[in-house]
Amino acid sequence: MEQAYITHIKRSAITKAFRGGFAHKRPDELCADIIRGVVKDSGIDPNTIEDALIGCAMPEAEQGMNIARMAVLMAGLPEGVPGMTINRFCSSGLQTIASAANLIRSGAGHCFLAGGTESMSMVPMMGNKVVASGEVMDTHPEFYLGMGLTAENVADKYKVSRTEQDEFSLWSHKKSIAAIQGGLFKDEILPVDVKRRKLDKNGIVQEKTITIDTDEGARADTSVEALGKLRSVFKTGGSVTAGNSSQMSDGAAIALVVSETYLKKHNLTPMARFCGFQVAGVDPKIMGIGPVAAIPLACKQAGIEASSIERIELNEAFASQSIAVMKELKLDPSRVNPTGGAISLGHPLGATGAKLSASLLYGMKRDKQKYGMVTMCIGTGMGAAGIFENLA
Amino acid sequence: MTIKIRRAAVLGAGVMGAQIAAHLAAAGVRTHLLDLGGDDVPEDKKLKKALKGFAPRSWRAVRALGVLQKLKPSPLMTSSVLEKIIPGNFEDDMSVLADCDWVIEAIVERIDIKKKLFAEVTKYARPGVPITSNTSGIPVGDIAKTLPEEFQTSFFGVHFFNPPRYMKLVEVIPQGRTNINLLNDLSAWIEFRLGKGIVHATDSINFIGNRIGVLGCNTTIHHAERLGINIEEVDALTGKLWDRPKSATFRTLDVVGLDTYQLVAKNVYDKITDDPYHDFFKLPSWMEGLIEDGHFGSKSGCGTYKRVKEKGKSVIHAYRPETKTWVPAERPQIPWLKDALKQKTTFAKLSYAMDQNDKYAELVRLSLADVVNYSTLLVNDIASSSPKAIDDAMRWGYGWKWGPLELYQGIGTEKVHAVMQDLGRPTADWLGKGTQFYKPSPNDPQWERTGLQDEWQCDLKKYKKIESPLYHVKLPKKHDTEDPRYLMGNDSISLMDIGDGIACLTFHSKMNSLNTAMNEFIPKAIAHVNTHFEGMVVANDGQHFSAGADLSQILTYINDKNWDAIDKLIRTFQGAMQLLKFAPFPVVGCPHGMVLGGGCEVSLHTHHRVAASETYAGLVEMGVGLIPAAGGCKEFALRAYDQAALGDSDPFKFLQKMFMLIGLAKVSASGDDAVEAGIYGPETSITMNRDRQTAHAKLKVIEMLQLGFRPKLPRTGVKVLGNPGVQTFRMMLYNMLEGRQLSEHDAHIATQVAKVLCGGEIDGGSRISEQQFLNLERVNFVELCKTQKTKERIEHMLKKGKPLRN
Repeated sequence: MEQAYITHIKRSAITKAFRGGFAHKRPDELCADIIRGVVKDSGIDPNTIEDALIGCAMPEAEQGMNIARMAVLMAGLPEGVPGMTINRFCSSGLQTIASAANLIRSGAGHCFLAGGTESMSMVPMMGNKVVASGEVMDTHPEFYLGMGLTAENVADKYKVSRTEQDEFSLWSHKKSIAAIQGGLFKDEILPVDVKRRKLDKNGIVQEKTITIDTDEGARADTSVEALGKLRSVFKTGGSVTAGNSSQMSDGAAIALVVSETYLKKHNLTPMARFCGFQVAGVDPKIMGIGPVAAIPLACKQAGIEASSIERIELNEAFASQSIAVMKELKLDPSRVNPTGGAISLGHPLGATGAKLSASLLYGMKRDKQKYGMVTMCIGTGMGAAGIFENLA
Repeated sequence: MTIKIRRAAVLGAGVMGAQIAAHLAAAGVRTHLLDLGGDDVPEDKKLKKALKGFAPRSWRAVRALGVLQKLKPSPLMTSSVLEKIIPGNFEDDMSVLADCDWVIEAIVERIDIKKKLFAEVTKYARPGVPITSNTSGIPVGDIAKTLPEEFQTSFFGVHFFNPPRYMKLVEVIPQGRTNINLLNDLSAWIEFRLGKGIVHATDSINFIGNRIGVLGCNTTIHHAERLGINIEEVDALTGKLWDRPKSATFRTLDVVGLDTYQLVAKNVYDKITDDPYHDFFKLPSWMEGLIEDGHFGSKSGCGTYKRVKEKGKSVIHAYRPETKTWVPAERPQIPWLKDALKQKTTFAKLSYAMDQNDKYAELVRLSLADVVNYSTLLVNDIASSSPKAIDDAMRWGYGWKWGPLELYQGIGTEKVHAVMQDLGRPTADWLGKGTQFYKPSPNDPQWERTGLQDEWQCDLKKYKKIESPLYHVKLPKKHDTEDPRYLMGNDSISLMDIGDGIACLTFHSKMNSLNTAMNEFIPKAIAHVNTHFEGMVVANDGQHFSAGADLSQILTYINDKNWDAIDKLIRTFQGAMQLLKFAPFPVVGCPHGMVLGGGCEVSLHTHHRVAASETYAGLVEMGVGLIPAAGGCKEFALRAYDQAALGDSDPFKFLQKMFMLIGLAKVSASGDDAVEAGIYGPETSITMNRDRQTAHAKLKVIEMLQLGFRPKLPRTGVKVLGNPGVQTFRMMLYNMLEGRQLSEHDAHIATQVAKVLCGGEIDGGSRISEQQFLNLERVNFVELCKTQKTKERIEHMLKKGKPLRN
């Protein structure tokens, strides 16, 4: 069986939805910028790319029209490079890497682009048009339960207190601020230019180009007291607040996934080896607990003991579910999200899996760790986990 | 009126200045709000954010715009009013005065500072443009002297009352050199465009409102102290009994601020030492003690009352001067008060009170006698001998239903005069015990029909004819078959001839709530208008347009399980609304005040609305466990589908907005807000002047006729969302229910709303008629009536006057 390797991976900075640096940047343009950067860095002949798998959680409107193919074309890759949009909500960006790796492992190809992109500024969380099924409403309305309410259910079921959630949130911000100040994300972030257009006093459009190269979400000035003052947003009297939930964000991330044959032929140096990936379903009412089901399966598939995983990028959809997952699987907190997570850095839905993979691989390289994992919960009750071996 | 105010400047961005600017802006005037400039911008994140797009040196004015957003009750009719206010500062922006048609000074009450400011104003303002001061404490003549001569003729006082959006009173005060034509011109503009009531005052200390008002309040306080009547008892005796605001005496003072009140009173005490009631302008020592201790009222947390948390509950405590402590407020035990309040008119209530024989009655007698006596003593000096000016000032500035001289005459001059003589105070030498200030008398039915016709001029001792303004259409507040304009009617509703071929359908039931008798009358009225008139206005002179359908009637049927009667009642109501909508002549509604539930549905079915700027409209049926069923859901749905069709968009988003309006029982914060929020459609115009509203509506009917009015026809093929829409609403409600944001019954009612808005649980894209929407409304309304929780909600509302969330 061919092994699958990641030779290059880059992400954009993650910016705040609606008012951040990418609020007016289309997700297909942003994705194209990152693809262009990764292909350029790798030095490969773009004609050898066999497909581009791009994750997107709400593939419609600005993210519609098969955004994968659009991004490939917009990136200036040869028209012979195809594109496929993949949606598994919050795991989409990891799913594409796993799918590309599995294509290689099954002998179906040698060179793929895989990643994700999402503009939550432009396409709302549930898409522009939601239409519920009468059958579901009659029999299983919980299939449509909002994410925040599932986080409340997790907090109730796994007895995660409000204080624990706020402390976790503060912990996330502190780690992210330290990482940003220490320049730890510099290698993984590809600076992206955005053009801002405004009318001047004379009614003439003035264009300004700014470069976005830093994550925007982390707050140095927050505290448990400040977080404790926020009101629950999803449930009256609940514990899940805007402060202990992931931020709505815009961003993109892309990896170059290749086979061992391709590596040797093109004399590329691998960053990491893809070890395995699994997805599992859970009760949609406690969606956030998904990783508890997925992680053991991924470890088994990869043939790696959970205890030997030194670094985990656990998507912080909500503090309640992150804490519950860590408690249930007895994960070592020092190994989880050492540079912060989605609560502080943001969660651009379909891009998140690839974005976390970038942080994981550069983090393992920096800290000389062998095995690492990206994991997340997924809307409608699923969990995903992917394991990588650091070769850098 | 020849004056044109397109652009104005308010100098001074304090609470009054900023609110005046907001009111001008709401009236469509581009308004500059200027205050001191400075580079000393405070370290405040929100302020810095707000300053974006403005000169940082104007931070005081920008900050004032932020204050406007927080004040309660809101001075902003809609948030978009803020966009029309241009903040600036005295140092950099005074040149804008050259473009302003009115300059309003509202800065600190210091003549030296005002002088300095006016020196700058006159460098830029155009000569002849009115320059006015909102001063309440400094004689306007003194300020005028600080201006160059060429500006003195255009300078006078224009004194708004706080809060300027809601208080009708504006006192206009000339000084010796004021050009009276200019003053009258601006006064007419303020009355017409800002909807205010103008009172002409002389340049005396505190002018009219705050002179009489403070005296009235202080005499009550002094008498109460002497008679040993406590704070709660004073408030029980000086609110509802007089048909004044419920906050009566002490609660009002707490809201105003005891310190502010003291300053206003002290102004008279210090400056008019020969005032006949001089000593009454000094506050009792216990109130001065409260002020010294920083207990100013609401703004400092406590005053004559304070709110105390006891066992998790909020309890009101009242001050006891004798022990200098606050004790739990007592329910006043005034033996005759309940019976007095049963009397039908204010005059009868007060007369009943005056006939009693205890200390409480004595307080009423003395308070009344003093305020009347003081008014008669001062009317020549402060109000140019016009009793109407004094009564208008007290009604419009203090929220009294009747001014002191109207009370004097309404209760009976001999009765009040006798108490005045017992006071042993100086009295006006011209005042006889039979002096009648007004013809007709305020207690005469003719007053209701036509309003004031003749006013007694206290100096000339003769009557002056009051010309009823052309715009004034006065409507009866009860069934008055003697009114020459009366055409037909019953106890709750009448049809009146308001001239020029236009009829007026007017409500006069309790709170103008809608009952079956009214709905059965509407078809007859429409038939009559169709035969004998050209068009119709739906208006009334009540405090509120309508508080909604008569719930007690519905509850009776529920208790009898008479579902057929409810079905018939709704059919009748729906039929009446459809007849309004499809009338072959123009029908224009005049919503004002509360326009709730069924009342709102009436206004939704007129062809056009001339809404008062103070209109609080909404479909609030959710609160009583019901859905709008007289075409309210239908009208909202039709508008949503039409709006979606315009942009070839998904109707769900438009329906969702309507769904939320009904689901949250949204009530508009103003007429403009009713349009912005989507309660009213674009066929709505807003008038700031409530007095002219009916006349404006009449003009609108005439205009519609002149422009070739085309009657509407029922819709037959509205493409609806059907079941897919209903299910999506159910999904939203399920999530809200899981999030404990609503009760099971809320969700159940809201589901019925969704069913109507979506045209029922039918195939998406089906076409249905307007009547089918009404059928859905009616069926679901009746079904909700059958639920125990709806019954409980209705009972609770009727008993407690507020909604029950069960």
